[in-house]
Amino acid sequence: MLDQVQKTDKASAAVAHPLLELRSVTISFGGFIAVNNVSLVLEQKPVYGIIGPNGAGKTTLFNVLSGFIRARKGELLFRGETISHLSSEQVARRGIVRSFQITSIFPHMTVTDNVVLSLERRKHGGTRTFVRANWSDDHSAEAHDLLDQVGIPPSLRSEPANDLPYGRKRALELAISLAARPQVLLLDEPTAGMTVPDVNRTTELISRLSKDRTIIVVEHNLGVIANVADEIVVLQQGSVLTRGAYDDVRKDVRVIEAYLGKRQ
Amino acid sequence: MAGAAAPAEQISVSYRPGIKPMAYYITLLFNGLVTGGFLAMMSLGMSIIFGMMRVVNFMHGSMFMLGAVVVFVFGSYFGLSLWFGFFVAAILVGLLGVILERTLIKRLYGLDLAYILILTFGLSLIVEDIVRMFFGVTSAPFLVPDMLKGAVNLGFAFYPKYRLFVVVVSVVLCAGTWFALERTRLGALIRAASERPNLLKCFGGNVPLLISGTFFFASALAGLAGALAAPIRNVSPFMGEEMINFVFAVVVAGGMGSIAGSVVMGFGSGLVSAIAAIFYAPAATAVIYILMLVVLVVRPGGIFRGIDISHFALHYTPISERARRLFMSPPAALVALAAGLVLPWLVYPVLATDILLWGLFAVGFDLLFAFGGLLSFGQAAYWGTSAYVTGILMVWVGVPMPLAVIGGVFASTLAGTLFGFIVARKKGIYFSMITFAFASVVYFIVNEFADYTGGEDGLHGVIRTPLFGIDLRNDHVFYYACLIAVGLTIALVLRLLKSPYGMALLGARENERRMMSIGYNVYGLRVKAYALSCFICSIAGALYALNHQFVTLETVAWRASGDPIMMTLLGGAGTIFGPFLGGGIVLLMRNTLSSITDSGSLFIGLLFVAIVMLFRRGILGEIVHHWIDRRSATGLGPNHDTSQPEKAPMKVAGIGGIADA
Amino acid sequence: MYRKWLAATCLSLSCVFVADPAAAQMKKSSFNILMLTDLSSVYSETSGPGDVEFVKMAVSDFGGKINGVPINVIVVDNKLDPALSVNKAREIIDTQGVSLMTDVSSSAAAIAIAKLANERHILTTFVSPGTTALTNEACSKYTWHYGYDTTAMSAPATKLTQEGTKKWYFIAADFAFGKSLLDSFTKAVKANGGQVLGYDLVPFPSDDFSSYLLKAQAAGAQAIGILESGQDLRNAVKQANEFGLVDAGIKIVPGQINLSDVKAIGPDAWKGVTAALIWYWNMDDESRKYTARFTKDLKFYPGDIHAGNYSAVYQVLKTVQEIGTDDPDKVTEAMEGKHFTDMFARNAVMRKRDHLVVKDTLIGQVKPSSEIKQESDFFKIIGTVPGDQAYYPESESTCKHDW
Repeated sequence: MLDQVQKTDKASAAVAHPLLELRSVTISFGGFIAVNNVSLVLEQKPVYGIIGPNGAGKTTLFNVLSGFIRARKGELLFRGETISHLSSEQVARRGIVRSFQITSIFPHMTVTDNVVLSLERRKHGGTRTFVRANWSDDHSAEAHDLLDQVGIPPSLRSEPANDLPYGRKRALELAISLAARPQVLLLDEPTAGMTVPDVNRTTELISRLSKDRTIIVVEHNLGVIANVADEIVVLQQGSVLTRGAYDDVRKDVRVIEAYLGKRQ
Repeated sequence: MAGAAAPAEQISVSYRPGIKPMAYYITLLFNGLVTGGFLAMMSLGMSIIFGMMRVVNFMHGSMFMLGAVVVFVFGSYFGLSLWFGFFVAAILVGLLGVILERTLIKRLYGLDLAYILILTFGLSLIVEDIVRMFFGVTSAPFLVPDMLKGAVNLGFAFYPKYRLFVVVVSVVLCAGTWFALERTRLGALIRAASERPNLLKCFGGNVPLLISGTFFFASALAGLAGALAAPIRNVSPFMGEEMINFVFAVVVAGGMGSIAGSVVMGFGSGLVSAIAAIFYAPAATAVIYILMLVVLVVRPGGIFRGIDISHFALHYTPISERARRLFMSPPAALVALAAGLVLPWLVYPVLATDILLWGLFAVGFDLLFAFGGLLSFGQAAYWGTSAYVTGILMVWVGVPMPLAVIGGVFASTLAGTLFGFIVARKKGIYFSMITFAFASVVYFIVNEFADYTGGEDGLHGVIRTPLFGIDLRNDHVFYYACLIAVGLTIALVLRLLKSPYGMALLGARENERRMMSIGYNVYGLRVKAYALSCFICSIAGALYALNHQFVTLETVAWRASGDPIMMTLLGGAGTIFGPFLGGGIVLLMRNTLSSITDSGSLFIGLLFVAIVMLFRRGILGEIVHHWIDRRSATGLGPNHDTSQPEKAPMKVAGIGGIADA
Repeated sequence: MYRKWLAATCLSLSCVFVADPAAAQMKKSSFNILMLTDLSSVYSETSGPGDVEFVKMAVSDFGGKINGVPINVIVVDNKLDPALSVNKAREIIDTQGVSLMTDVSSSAAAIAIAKLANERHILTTFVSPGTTALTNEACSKYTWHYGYDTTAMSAPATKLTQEGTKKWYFIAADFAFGKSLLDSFTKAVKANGGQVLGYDLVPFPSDDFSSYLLKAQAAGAQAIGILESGQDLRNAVKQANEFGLVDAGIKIVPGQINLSDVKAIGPDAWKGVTAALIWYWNMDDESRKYTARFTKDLKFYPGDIHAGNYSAVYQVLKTVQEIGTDDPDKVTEAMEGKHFTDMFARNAVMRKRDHLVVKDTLIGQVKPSSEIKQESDFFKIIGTVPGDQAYYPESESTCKHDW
């Protein structure tokens, strides 16, 4: 029921404003220009894939979208509202949640607590001090549901998160992000370093999760992108090279050159 | 106070010269360049070491002192001229630095700053005591070589040649070092090793050699600075103590790891101090800290952007989740309570109360450190402020004791909260140094208002009045009153740590970026943590004033900020009750040693070195670790999923072994 | 028969009394002397082991016993920490009993100990600390300020101003003792027609006094009072020489001075310096006699605080012996107003109202190294100021004397 309401909201919002919009955004570090006057409009499609060779500015783009870097030049809008000046936590509260290239979990807390931490934030703000001792039981059902969704078996849920195998850690990271009920989920190389079974599982998970939200994925694994993305944006040296469906993009000469070099 | 008031006619506390020729001011500013030169040379070395190894070397001050001592010894006993003395001092001190680095400091790379600080602090105590035992606290005269005797006419006054020589040498050395680092191949290698030591190893760079070589150079520089200072300063074992605090301030304000920053801030601080000497002498040293605070507020990270350390996670050896839950459980609290009830019968009651209160103070520190991930060097500011305000309210304003305590705690916590808004944005060493500078400024203020605080005579007459009909003058009774207060505060702390806020605080310590990405306002969490810490320290401080019935400058001196750090690490950070144990051991040691030996500093220094090298989790932490964590270290959990070949084996960090990631 | 028995009984009973009359009146079974002194920190040379040596000497001069009970000396390294001092003192008072506390390095510790002494009725002689509070608002029945007082230290200022040095500048430590010296010196200069051109309160500790010295010179000072102690004093004087102020004829007058200060930077750096001394090892035969005994054990020459401890302990023990009891009230009564002269204090009076021990103050001048024939013989005594002129008048004390 809630999902349907969300979908209707999404639909009407989509008519009014694009989901995310960058207007002439430039980011430079010292003399190096990471994002070069990029203007980009993203609608409310299920999955976007962002690809490009190394140094193209993909992670920087994510940092801008999630508020970890503020763009000095240009604007960032979320559903028509300017969010360029917001801090990362404010952006997250608006509904844009990201993951990190290097697995980012809370290693010394239990797996369940990792998710509870995110749930508490969403439901109660995260700073409650005077509550009863078993406050985390309130989140128990939802936490276990999320962990089911990302495929972490119950036997591992009381262990310290650091003890999980690599693939599960990435899954946990996803669960933490999901607990925040994002409208936009930014995944930074979610399948990096994974074995094939894990990659498949993750790809399938992304598809499933995209039914309720927009997911933007940065990936090097073009197979994953092929299976999962509805539209692909190609970056190169801080600019948007092209965008479109996978089949169109992979035939684009410029894209091939960007990856493989110019034919002499 | 008869004999203590300044003459009524003079309004200012410093002679403000009337219109004087420009030459007069220029001459005085030269003094600033001399002081600045020493600061620059010392800061340069420290910055390089930090940049290379992320090591904050408290021993730098001792190296300065050793350089002066070497030059003195060789000059007095072997008749070595000062020229040769410089080289000998530089080389010997440099070698000492390398030896220390290879044997001790190397083992602590990558670990939390707190360990290295305590280690180097302990070493400096040991060195200081040894030098004192051999040479006493005075020195013999040391003369300037003939070539540099005499003065140069600078227009206004005759300025000693030797001082000009010092300025020239320091400028040349600083410029030379900067040039070497920025423009030569060796410098590029060193800078590369600073940024990415592992990468450099892959390229065949001999990183250990580079590191040791750099340590040698930085130590030699400190030794040389000391040697240069010997003719114009009194040579004594305590020479380096005050100097090191200023050096910290300069390095941080200049930007950790930034050579240019250290040099500019070093000379700049010297000049600012000279200007203060001209117009308001009492602030001549405090002004260096104020300058640092201003710089860090305006340009966080230092005037020249130093190495970005904001993403360094803390790598102190934490206790495991199981251990933490054990300490926060009711059985642990009961054991602690039982110990608390028995203590005043085992130990002299006033000392027992001291243990209780220092322990609480250390818990306040530990809340920030182990749970908040913030190492504060300045919690004494709140311990002392609370004590003084309580005392002043009782002695000068006549406020009844209970209200005075509330007033003291309130005032101090309020100050802490306000300061927390500023300071909670900083991380790592910047946070530590700002808190240190603030505490130094508080010390300065307390001394300035000596009419109310008593200055170094102290504020006396803070009498324990009866409360609810109970006579608190009986030391046993007062102990139990404090036990109740401390118990309630600890209960509050436990409640806090088990709450959602407590979990959020831990999360912020574990992974700040992740917290932000799910919507947590980490800055807000830290401000709250800081305010709570100040609150706890304030309670302890107010009661401390009543325990001794006087308040002295020691409560706001920098050693009072160092003690809770030591007590916490000794007892076990993050164990709630560890700080009390640590406090007990430190206080009992000091108490006992004072009757036995005059080498108390030496033993305490050895204790600190031992903690850092061997018992990194602290006593309670190590006990629990061996008892709980070792038992469950089976390597594989139940229902182990065999389709996951990358499962990481459970790491068991041994003593002095790999730090738990 | 009956009379013989009675006579024998009376005789034996009287023997018991006559044999050890005093022992029967000593309240404690031993006379414990607690020394709270700095053995390892910045004042360990002016106090510390030297104090212990002289206290032990005084005790042995009494044969280790007083009125039949043994004398024990308990030494505590207080590291200038007031809290430690008070805690240890109380502990030892409760566990072993203390009849006399002496020395007490650090003014803050002294004031706290004074309160403790008052509370527990324990005789105390403060020798190391200089704070005037001990004879004013912190005065108490059982405590005596035995060592030096900042007023007495200003004697050279009086002398020099009278002799024509009218223009003064002061560099004082921004600490209570520095401000106290500043007040005494300013009063002394003004009372004799002199002028204070300016002063600087300098953070304590400081390394570099060059700016203040230059300011003094620019102001036209004929004399600069360096109201500092320890390392700071030496730095300031060393730097005054460096800047040629001494050669230019400006007189350097320290607030107080110790042998170790002269030794540290050499007598020639102190050329012509005059200072007040409450005792000097080479001042007369008495002092030389005790110095000889001191230097046999310790390898350095004693200073005023060291000697002061001998005298304090000696005088207290002598009083206890004279009145036959260690009852603190009776001892205090006997001490108040007592006049005495011993190896340390000449023409001394233990003032009744504020318990300040007033004595002749010497004015010493540092000899140039060419005139120094004996080790550590740094001073030439050029004058003596009688106690009642050197110290502030009893009437000016704010001590309530509520006993």
